[in-house]
Amino acid sequence: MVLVADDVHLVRAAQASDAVAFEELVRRHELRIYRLALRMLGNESDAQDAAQETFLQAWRALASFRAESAFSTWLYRIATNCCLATLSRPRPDTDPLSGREMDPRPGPDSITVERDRFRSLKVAIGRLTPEQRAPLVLREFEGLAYEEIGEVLGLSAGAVKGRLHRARLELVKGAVP
Amino acid sequence: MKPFQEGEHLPCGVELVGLVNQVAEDLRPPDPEHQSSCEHCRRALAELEPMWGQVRELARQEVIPPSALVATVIQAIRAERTRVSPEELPLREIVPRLVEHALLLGERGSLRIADSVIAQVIVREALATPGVVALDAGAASPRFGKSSHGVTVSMHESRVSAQLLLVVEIGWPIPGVVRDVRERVGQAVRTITGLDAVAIDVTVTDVRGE
Repeated sequence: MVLVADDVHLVRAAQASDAVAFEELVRRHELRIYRLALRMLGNESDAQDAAQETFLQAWRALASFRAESAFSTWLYRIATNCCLATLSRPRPDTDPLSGREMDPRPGPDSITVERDRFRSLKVAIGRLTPEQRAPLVLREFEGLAYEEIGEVLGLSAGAVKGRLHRARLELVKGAVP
Repeated sequence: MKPFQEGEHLPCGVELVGLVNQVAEDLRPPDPEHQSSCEHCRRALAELEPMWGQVRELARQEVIPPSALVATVIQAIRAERTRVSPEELPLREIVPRLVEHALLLGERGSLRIADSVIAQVIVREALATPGVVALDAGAASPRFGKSSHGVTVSMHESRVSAQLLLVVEIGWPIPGVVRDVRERVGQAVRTITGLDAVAIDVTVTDVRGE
């Protein structure tokens, strides 16, 4: 009875305005999209907003998805753009470097912030420019290949390599004690 | 992570970025002889390895999306859909059966019911209807796609439609049997799952005597 549909079929059904098929796509991809947003933005509430915005934009733009790339790649592209838009908005109430410590809304993580042994790494990631951070997150945390990162960011594989190498270098140089 | 003290080139002339990439991508050293004998390279690598180990560890760390994420997206999409003109949303959309859960959204959370659960409810009720001998597990109707146990369930949000392949006992009036099947199945689906059985399509594939 149980029939597991792949993304291609679900996308086709969703394009025929089957909301249930799209809901299944949301469930399948929520983890990677949320994780991308969390590593890009550094705090849970912004990450949740960006992930929700990603799926809404995807739903509205679904008709324009041409299956030239994988659905996940297309989603990553929307998500990355949502995150870059968030990062370009001024956030006066937030520490521009990490976006975390000054977040007034307590997230589930807030109690453990003090003993978060990744804290300095996260701060170092937060110090990268958004243009450096995106390829780094897509590569190191999402495990995408250079070509796929290029599709997400609209760059050649060579340009991805250049930015990624710069990002890694900045990361190891910018780590705080 | 500790700040990395070196500049962009090590005193031996090796570019730091090369070593960083070597560690990050787990590459073989391009110049193994130099690296194994150069104290600058070895020291830099000894600092980089644990640093990158932390990056890998963070990458492996489990991330749990907030439980409200999917529900919020779904509700927003539904709200947008209801603004579309009703003619564009037929009650039963004929789409291939792709999703194996019906979804009910409530104030305090969502409920999903697997189609196999609904199928079992339907099979039990259909078989309990007088005049029904069996469900035709062998037949596969091209219109309804693959059928197992003689029942195919399609779901759209909280609406269920079912296609049944029945074997009826010879001598029983087929329209009456089918009407009873529809009533019983519809009632059972509503009572047991809370879903609305909007259509129960029946194909009588065979008749049998005792």
